[in-house]
Amino acid sequence: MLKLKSKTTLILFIMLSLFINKAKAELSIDITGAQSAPMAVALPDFSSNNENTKKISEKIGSIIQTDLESTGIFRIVDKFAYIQHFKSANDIPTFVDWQSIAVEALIQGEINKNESGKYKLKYRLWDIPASKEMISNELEFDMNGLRRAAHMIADTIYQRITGEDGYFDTRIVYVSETGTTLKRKTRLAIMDQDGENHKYLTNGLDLVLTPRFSPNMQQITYLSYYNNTPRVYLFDIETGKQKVVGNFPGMTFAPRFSPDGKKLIMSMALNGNSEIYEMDLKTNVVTQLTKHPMIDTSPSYSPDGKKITFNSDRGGNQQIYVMNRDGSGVKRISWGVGRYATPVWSPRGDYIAFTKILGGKFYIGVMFPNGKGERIIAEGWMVEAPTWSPNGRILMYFSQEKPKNPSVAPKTKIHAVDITGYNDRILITPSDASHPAWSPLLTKH
Amino acid sequence: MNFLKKLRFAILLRLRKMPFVIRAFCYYRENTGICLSLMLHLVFFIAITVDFSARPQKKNDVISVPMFTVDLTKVKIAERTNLPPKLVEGKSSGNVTANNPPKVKSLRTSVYSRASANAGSESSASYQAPTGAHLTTGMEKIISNVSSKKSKSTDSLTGLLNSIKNTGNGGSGSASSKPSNAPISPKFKTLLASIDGKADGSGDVPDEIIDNITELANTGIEGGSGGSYMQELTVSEKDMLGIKLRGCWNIDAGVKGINNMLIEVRVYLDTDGKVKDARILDRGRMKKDSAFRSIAESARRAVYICDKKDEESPFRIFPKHYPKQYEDWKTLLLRFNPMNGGIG
Repeated sequence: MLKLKSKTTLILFIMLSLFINKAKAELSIDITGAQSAPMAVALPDFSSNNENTKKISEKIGSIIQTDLESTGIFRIVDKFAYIQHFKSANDIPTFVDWQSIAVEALIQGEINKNESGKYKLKYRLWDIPASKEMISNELEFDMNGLRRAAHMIADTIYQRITGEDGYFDTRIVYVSETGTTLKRKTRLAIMDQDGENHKYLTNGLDLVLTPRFSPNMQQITYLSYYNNTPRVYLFDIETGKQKVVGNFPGMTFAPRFSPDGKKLIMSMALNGNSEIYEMDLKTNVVTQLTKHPMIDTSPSYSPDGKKITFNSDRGGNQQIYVMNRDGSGVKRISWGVGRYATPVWSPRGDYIAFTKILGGKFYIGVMFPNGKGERIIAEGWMVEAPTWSPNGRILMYFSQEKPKNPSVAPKTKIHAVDITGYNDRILITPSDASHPAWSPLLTKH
Repeated sequence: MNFLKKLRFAILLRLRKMPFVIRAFCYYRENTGICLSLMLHLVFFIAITVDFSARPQKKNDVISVPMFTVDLTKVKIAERTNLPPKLVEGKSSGNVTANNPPKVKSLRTSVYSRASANAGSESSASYQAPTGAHLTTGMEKIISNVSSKKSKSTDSLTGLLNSIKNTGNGGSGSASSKPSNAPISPKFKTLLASIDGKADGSGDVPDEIIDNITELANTGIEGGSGGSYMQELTVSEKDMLGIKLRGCWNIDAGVKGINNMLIEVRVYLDTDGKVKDARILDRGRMKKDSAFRSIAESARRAVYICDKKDEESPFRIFPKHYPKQYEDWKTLLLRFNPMNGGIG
């Protein structure tokens, strides 16, 4: 009976709402399309109570500014234009003043030193046109954690405005290259995403390629030609120790961790044919996923771990395929002109990045996992090895210039570009750099 | 018999896949009274909400309305009229002059009856109610039709009035700028007065009348199917509003799922066309989908950014052009679609 009553009420409510809608027809306007320009952000110096903290405040402000501006999504408004100056994080902004200089978001903060010698930073983010507070946060850090604290603030602001996780508190592992063409020395190197805290991980005696981070940030898997045999290795970041992965009869290459970090997927070449294998890192059990007389390589998991994308020339030339995790349901997804290689599934799952070779040129592009919506992001004489930022927003790849002299090694550089194709920038590294790999967000681990 | 059994079996097999049908039937059997009552209510509501008289439009139903002109020379004028006695207040006062026009209450029955009231004050206070009432009624019908078709606006009504005025002016509908010297019969003068508000039929339309017409047109002429003129905001005005708001809307084009976003923002305006408040409607998705929240907040920012442009604000069009229809534009529903129109 009760159910019937509630159903009757529901029906009456729906009918009444129909009447109300009919009576209150509202004037509506459609706005289709928009502008996409960097958002104007004001970042006044964080207020502080002494000279020492003032310098810290300036340093943090400068890191946040670099992080936000590097995205191409934000533009920090010149400080000379600011009308209001804050004495504390509790001061309410004079919105009219900020609106008059066309500011869209304001970052306001205050930094003070504790009795324990740590710094306490309170910051707030304001939506200036809407005159609303977006976030208010506090964090504590010491001098060693200053850069990370600034990156974390930038991440929080980025996340709140764009709705996506940030990527400033991350690291990059890459292959550092020095020497001539014949005597090329390659070393694994690691640095913060903004190029700071640079460090070499290997000695450069052996050729190293394709480093990849494990999801927990503890390990790096890579290909090394130690003893002139190409094999997949695991490098422990904390201990600096490395070990070969499995005892495979053939050459192993193109390794990548599964999203849960428990398995490793790679290619193994045996008797002139390469297939894709998955190895359980705990039990060392190896499973063969593909079985085809043609080459299958460059595997990459989908973020949920249920699918794998790889490239194969089983269709006549190099193309991108998708299959289930157990190797079933292989389906070709790339149908464009040219050859497709190095597919990498985006961490947010909406795109697969790839390298395309066509007419003597290389391209970096993205397509949807069903193969539709192919879009070229970058091109060059040689551009290769795309890798995703942890939020799936930025693609990093390396470019190599056309060699002019056979004895001089061509310069290689790492680029980072937004998936919209805008804001292509070169990362500054101490030497030539190739094969970058982006770490997950450190804050989450 | 065998066939019937098979049929019943087949139906039962199908119904197995739709258990709710069986449950509904059982429920009906148990609560017949309540179900019947519910159905009757449903029928009642359908009966009062659905317009059964409306037929689907056929090709033959479409009637093209030709431009019409009124040749006043062919209009027969009755000696007496049945205009409401209220309008000839001059008769009772008896001393109304041109400098002291009678105060006439705004009536919505007809623009022209209002005009005739003014004429009465100017031409002859003692004149027994002017003629031309059947013409007025005809005009009302025309205006009512025009209003019901929602296809004419203030301009067309003013144009109509002018065309009538011009016709009366020269007697042939062509010489408004050249006053005719030909004598005009008193009856015809009366008719003109009833239309134009001037005894000699040569003057301009008084502003008061124009205002009245505008008011009527804007608020929906009584007797027509009515509705608000604001619903008839011109395409170019709507486009202008959309383009200006688009210029204020700055989004991050790389946000995930941007292709499937439609953000509805309700804007509350004050009488000056300034934004009092702007609210994002889909609060549920705002909480669940951070990418949607990002784009929705940028849409809300666009409203405020445009509003801060003062005279350039798209919302200023309302107090400027439609000051008396505040009730119609005090809230607006803005539908932001980031990808359909491309990103500049």
